[in-house]
Amino acid sequence: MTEYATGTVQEDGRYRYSFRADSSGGSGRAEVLIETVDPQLTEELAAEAALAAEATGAVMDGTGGRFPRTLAEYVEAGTGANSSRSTLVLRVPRGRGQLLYLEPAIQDNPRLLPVTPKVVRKIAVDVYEALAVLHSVGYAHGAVNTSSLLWNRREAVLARYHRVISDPDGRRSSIDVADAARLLYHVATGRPLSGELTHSAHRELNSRVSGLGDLVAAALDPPDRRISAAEARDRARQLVPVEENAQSDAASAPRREDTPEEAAARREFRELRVEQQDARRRRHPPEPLPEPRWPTPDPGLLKPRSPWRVLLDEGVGPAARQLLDRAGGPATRPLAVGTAAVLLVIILGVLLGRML
Amino acid sequence: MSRPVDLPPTVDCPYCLARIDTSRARSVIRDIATQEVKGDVTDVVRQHGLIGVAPYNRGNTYLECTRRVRLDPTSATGYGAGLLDEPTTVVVGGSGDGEPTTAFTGGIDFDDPDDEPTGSPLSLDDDVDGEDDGDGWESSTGTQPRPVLPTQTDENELPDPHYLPYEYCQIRRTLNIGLIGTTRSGKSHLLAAMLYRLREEERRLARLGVHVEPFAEMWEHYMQREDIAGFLAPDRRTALRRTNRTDPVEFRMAYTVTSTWNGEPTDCVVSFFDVAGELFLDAKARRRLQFIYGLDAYIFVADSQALYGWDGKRRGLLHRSGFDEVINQILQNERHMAHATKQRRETFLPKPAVVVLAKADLLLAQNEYWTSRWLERDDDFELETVDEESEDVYVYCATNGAREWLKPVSAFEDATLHFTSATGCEERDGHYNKRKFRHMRVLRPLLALFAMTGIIDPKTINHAYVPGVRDPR
Ligand SMILES: Nc1nc2c(ncn2[C@@H]2O[C@H](COP(=O)(O)OP(=O)(O)O)[C@@H](O)[C@H]2O)c(=O)[nH]1
Ligand SMILES: [Mg+2]
Ligand SMILES: [Zn+2]
Repeated sequence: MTEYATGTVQEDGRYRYSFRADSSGGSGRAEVLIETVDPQLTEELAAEAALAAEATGAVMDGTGGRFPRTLAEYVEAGTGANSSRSTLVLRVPRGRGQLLYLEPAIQDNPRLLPVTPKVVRKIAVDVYEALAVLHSVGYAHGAVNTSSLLWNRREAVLARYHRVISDPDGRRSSIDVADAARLLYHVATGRPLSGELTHSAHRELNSRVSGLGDLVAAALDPPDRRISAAEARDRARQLVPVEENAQSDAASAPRREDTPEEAAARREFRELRVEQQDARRRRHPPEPLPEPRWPTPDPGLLKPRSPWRVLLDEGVGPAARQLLDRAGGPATRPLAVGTAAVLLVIILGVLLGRML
Repeated sequence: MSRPVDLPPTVDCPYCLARIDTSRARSVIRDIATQEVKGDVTDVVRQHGLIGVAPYNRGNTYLECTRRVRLDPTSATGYGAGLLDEPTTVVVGGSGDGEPTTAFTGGIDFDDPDDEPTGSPLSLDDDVDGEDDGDGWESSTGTQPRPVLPTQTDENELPDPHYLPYEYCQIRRTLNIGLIGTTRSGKSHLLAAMLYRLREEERRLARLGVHVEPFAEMWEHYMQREDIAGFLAPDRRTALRRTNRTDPVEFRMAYTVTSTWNGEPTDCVVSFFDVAGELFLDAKARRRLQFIYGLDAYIFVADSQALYGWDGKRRGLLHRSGFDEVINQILQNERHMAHATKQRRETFLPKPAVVVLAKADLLLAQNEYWTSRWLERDDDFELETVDEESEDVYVYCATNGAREWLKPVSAFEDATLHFTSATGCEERDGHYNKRKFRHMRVLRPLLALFAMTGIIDPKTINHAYVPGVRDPR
């Protein structure tokens, strides 16, 4: 098999993917062999093969025999050593001959992401093209993600069928459109999209591929307003990768490990950061005080509080100061401290007296 | 005496920091080119406000700040006046004005770092982008601009009187930003590039919730300067003239920034101060530098060209940045203020600052790892990575003999650090190679500063507890 191999063998713990030249002899095509690693999954793979055959047939009928390059075509594995039920064979465009499924490739090397803006644009066009075709013949894909996507250096191919389902009313198709948008976010930024597309995420996408943020946002709209796969494909074709040079350089500049000296400087910076933040928090407390703001009343209109009230409310010091204030003269500090001490002794005395 | 109908009773002078009684101050018209006073419109302005002035002269109308009109005579010399009596150690680093330093004569020709072919299997193969790189120097006929030299009696004094744009006095919210750094560190080039890009990026700024418009006619005034026009013209790209020691201490340019992210649109005039760098190192010039205490935010410009030594690591700085001196002055002033108002002094200066490694194209040309990670990104608006970058710049400075540049980080309450280049390439004979010329990430430090002052949402750079735009006085 190696002599036919057009890509490395990939594995994701459940399936093994290998690639060979097209058995029907077409030079522009290659075949993907999907085998189970875990024998328990044989049934599932057989079911997937049935779904692949069904969907492929529907596309053939719908398009009059032409098959889109962006969707993998089911191949009857009736002959040879690979005819067992535990192998699914799909036909895909050969591209530059280096085929790989995204998910196992990323797991092997997370630095593959984010991909360059041009590749993002291409994936967007291809995935939505594949979905548009599939949806047009009444099927939804059901598993648009990096595990289903194959890249051959020229195009992206939707190349799994395990969740394919007939979808006459288009409800599930609409989920495909949103899933594809999440996939695009993932490959464009290197991070899966968790939750909703935030404002800054929207901007970030637009800054990498002009229009991508808008496309992804439209594809994540609530279902009643969401665009269709065909609309998404048309919009994807209008995307403009932003300054690929600067972007790809930056994205591919590998990050090296810090030297011990650098690591120390980094720690120092982070500590400073925390100190700065603490200082800011002290000056600008997070929430405006929850207590209602009363208009400050004219102190002259207020009934003076008794020293005992003050003592209860604010403690010994203020009470002492108030006592002195009442006695006239400004409350100098030593005097206040002395009075506070006297008050304290009185209180302690009273308390002790009660306890005894 | 009545005050002008369209001015508040008092206005704070951003230059000497005194409070001006607007009912006593003169209003004058100044000549655009020479900045000389050529007419008095005090009476008409008191009666009708600025409307009373001919439309073509409104942008040239100024309020005169002079001893006579300052409300608190003791503060006429500003808060920091006391500093002058204190023995402050000021190290005056080398003249700095001599020959351009040649820190990058490493011997290896780094002219054009190759477009490294990406080995990534997730790359797209079928299109080859021919990167043309015409190395030829196109000769331009642009003449070197002649500096305008204002007549000045004592170059160390803040001139008396000095002038505030009339329209500036009508504004309630202001944000004054100052560029700090020694002579030839790249302040003026950075500022010109920043101001230009601020005008160009209307759409992406709108997405951040800000609308930016040149304040009054200041953009026209700014572009009046022949060298600035030449620098910004794509078919000229001439170098800026040196900022003169005796140039008036006035803000160069201001923008009205409308911030909408926080609900109600709030207008704020953001103005930029750029003075000759040697003033920062000169204790005698303190009086001209009163304005630094009144600034709301600081841009510290570090000269990448000052780094020397290269064998994968730098060994130090060829000349001092002046950051220490400035920060010490601001700290002292803060201490005086805290003392005078009996307030607790904060551990950090309660303002934000950015540290900008200007001319970073020179570091990139040397293939420096930390610079290459950032400088070529077109990420002015990808603000979520600001802290990541700051950290890397910090690490770079700390491990390459440039700790002095990190002083603002431990002095200010909030700070970010950036690699930038205003030109993308080196000047030769007063010109830049038009094909290599580009502004690299010049807006990013400013946007970070905007986020740290609340003009844009601080969350865009993941900073919390930001004061928000200063309250109207
Ligand atoms: N290579 C390079 N040189 C720069 C850059 N910005 C400024 N310069 C050069 O640095 C010198 C001083 O710049 P200038 O902005 O006048 O410095 P200032 O005195 O701080 O205002 C000039 O010769 C400029 O050509 C830059 O981004 N890259
Ligand atoms: Mg200058
Ligand atoms: Zn003044």
